[in-house]
Amino acid sequence: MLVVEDIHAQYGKVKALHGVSLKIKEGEIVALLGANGAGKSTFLKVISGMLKPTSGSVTFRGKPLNGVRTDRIVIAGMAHVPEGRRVFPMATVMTNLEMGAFTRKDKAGVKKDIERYFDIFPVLGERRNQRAGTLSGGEQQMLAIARGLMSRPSLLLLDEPAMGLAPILVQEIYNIVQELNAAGTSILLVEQNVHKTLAIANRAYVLECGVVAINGRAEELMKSEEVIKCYLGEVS
Amino acid sequence: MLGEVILVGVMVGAVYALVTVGYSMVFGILKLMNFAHGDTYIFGTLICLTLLAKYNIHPVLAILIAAIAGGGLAFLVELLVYRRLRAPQHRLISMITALGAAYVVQNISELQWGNQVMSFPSIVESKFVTLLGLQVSVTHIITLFVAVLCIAVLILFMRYSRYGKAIDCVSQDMDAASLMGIPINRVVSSVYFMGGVLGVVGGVLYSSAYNAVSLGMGFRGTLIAFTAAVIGGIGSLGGALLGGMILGLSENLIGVYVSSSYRDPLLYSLLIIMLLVKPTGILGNSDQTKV
Ligand SMILES: Nc1ncnc2c1ncn2[C@@H]1O[C@H](COP(=O)(O)OP(=O)(O)OP(=O)(O)O)[C@@H](O)[C@H]1O
Ligand SMILES: [Mg+2]
Repeated sequence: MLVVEDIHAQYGKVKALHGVSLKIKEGEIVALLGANGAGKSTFLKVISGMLKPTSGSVTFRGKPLNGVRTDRIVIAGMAHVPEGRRVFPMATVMTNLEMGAFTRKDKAGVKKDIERYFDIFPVLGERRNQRAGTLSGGEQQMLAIARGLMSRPSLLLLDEPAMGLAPILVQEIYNIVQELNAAGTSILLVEQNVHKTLAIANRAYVLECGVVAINGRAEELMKSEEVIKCYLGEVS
Repeated sequence: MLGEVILVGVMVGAVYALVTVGYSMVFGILKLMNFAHGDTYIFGTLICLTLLAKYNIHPVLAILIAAIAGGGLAFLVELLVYRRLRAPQHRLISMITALGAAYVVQNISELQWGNQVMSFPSIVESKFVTLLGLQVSVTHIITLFVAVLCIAVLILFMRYSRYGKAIDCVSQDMDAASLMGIPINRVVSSVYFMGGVLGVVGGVLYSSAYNAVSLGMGFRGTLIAFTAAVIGGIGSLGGALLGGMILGLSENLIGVYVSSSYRDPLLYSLLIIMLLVKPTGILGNSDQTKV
């Protein structure tokens, strides 16, 4: 589904990624872990075409994405829910969701999906005509996720979707991720909660200062001493 | 007398609103002062003049062609001059580039039409009728009507169409909009095109109402649009309408009851006061980018 090879990327003169490779197979949940500043968000930006890598290649469903614009990548079936919510603050909840479906032509299906997310996140339904900027942080996070799903992607990039949410909602997000995956969506999940993330992921990559330090099957990583020492130490 | 002055003021205000809307939308989407706005729409207005006076083309068709020409020029200016300088760190450079673009457009027009004041034909027969006890010119009524119609169509488009909402979202967060699959470059181009089209319609209406057009109206047009946008709240559609109306009305009232030579100084005092007191404008949000 997605093959990323040897990506190098930088912001101006600051190098952020030094040769990162990663693969996602159809129907997988792949976790991307790592400390703050390791380059996780940067990596997602490269995949979705928001940041041009200095070298390396991204292939999505057999097609190279080098130099392909972000909006084209969305049409090809990828959605990226970026870090920090990024909802349209002056637009209503409804409009935000409609924009998530910008690439779709099936009006009835879009309406149905919106109602579905209002069922899952009732607070969004209650506030459908409210400006997104006036929602609480957690509510904005829910909106950002629902908006990302509106394009019905076959590959979903989620950058810390549970950030700032109450524990019960975090669980809700994890459930949604699993449901989506069961329905056939492949997922690349960036999260801070290593335990929970490894529990639902098939495989995981750990980034360290812009390179892949560890990668493997999720069950194995959960048992790996290195991961336990560095990332799970305080949890288990 | 006061009634007539106010009516003319409203007519001028509606035309200013039309010109300001294009300017303000363009600011909203790229956060760029498009100093070439006035010269671009005067270019279109002059094309309209040539089509009307030289080729005797039907006014509606002439306006249509001229509007497309003006919109096309605005589109080109964005594509060739502003596109590469879109990143926030280039804002100062792009402002200076915009001044350069204005100058280039102005000079192109000057080569073709010169810089003297030319007479512009009336699009509709200029006769007076009595309406609600006021002596009003048919030209003014039609000018007002067309301007209001254009603005209404634009408002409906921005509020209810998918594309209009997408434009609004691109101006709020360009990166997030591209993640929705919205083609940013196409949206920006179309906003420039629309700004040019509305500007030309405003320019033609104004020139035809006063039977005059000159190259100097380009720079003055940019200043009017800038001032009206700042007064109303730059980047906001409602603000542009309000600002245009305030400017048109006060300009006429000052011109008639004080003196036309005080008109511009008073207007620009208004601009300075606004910038000092409420730099975000009457309808502007405090979290929007400041001028
Ligand atoms: N826009 C930017 N300009 C310059 N440097 C940046 C920019 N964005 C990120 N960086 C740098 O690139 C590196 C990787 O950042 P990135 O955001 O990818 O980290 P991350 O793994 O997502 O971290 P976090 O867990 O905190 O979200 C960091 O050193 C960061 O300072
Ligand atoms: Mg990050």
